[in-house]
Amino acid sequence: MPTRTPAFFSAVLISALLISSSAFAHTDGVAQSGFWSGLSHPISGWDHVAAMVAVGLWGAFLGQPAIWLLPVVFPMVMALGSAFGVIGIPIGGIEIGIALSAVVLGTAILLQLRAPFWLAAIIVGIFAIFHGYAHGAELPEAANPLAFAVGFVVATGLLHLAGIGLGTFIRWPAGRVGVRATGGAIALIGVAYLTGAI
Amino acid sequence: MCVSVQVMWPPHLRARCSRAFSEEVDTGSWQKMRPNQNAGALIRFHRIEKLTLAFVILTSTFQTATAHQIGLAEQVLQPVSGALGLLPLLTAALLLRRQTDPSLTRPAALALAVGLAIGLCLRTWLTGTPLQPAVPLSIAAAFGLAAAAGLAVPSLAALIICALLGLSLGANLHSETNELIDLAQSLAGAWVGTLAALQIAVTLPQAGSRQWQAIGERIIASWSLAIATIMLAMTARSMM
Repeated sequence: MPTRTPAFFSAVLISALLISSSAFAHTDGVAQSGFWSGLSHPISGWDHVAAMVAVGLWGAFLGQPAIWLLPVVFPMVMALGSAFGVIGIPIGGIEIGIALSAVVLGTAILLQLRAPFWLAAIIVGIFAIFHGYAHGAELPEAANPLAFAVGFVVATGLLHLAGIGLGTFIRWPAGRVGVRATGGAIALIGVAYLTGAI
Repeated sequence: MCVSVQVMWPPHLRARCSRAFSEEVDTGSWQKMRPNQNAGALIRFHRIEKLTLAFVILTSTFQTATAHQIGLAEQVLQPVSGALGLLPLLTAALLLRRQTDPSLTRPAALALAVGLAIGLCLRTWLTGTPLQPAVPLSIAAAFGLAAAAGLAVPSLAALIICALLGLSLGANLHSETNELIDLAQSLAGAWVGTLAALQIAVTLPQAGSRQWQAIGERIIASWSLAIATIMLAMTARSMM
């Protein structure tokens, strides 16, 4: 006799209800514009991209548990910064902070700095505030809040994962050199933005 | 003269009623479990939940035909059909996955029902105010923070989580009218839907190693916290 599990029962129930839902005039256009707007926000500037990839790369250098805890810390603190930006709480030196994040994290990768985990989390957390604030302050008024927030957070997370993925190359000597060179390039991008900001 | 009237139930109906409210856990399989057996999950479908679903279906079916804006599917799927339901549900499920004591099943379901009822009462004062979305978003943010931080979930905390989840969902429940039957339908539908969704999320099989699964859950929790915080900030901006 086949066994019907409660999870199976629940899945069938929810599937049936989903299939039988009423026909609506779809408004996906609005949701998609919010999602794509949020998704493209973190990748709209090289300084943001460089810093977020650097978080994953540095985590890979630091090893466990930083490799996954830094990408957990960053979105949480970044969201706090976004909230400050959305509400309009004034914080000075945002552009400088963002550029500095690329310089500091890129240099840490280049020099293979092995900071204690708590210090790495604090450094990443402080920079996350600047990144989040910049995005929050530029948040479009008409964006679908949920779609925008989901796109924004997913893009940030994917950039971290890209950094972690690149960081796995450090197990090979040539890969280690390549990752350190990437760190140097990130630091240079940061210097360029820092020069512009100052 | 005192006349006592005793209703004589047919034996098979009496047996069914007594089983529906018995302590026996319906696992959905042909083998029945006792609560002291290791069920391996917090939320299990009892007969009482199935009876509640039957109530929602029957009352919906036998109501006078009207142009319903909120159908049966919407009532049951309310907790999973919008961000204000999904975020607290997802983060609560991430927390409840850490508590696998099967003896908590019934108290958790009861706490959820009580929370839903309180939330539904609060809805009267919250409707139309920015606080209405703020309640579930704040609860989702708190759950997300706890899940991302990797906090353990003791038995009492699991019950509080269920009650708060119910509160957040109840505060945003929709019902066709404010008549008792519609409110009861919405409440019962949301309760069944939430239990079903929680059951799926809590009993999802382990994918990959336990360590990587825990990492994945904490990352999802941190993302949920971030989304809830951003939405909270947007709600706050709309108040200004």
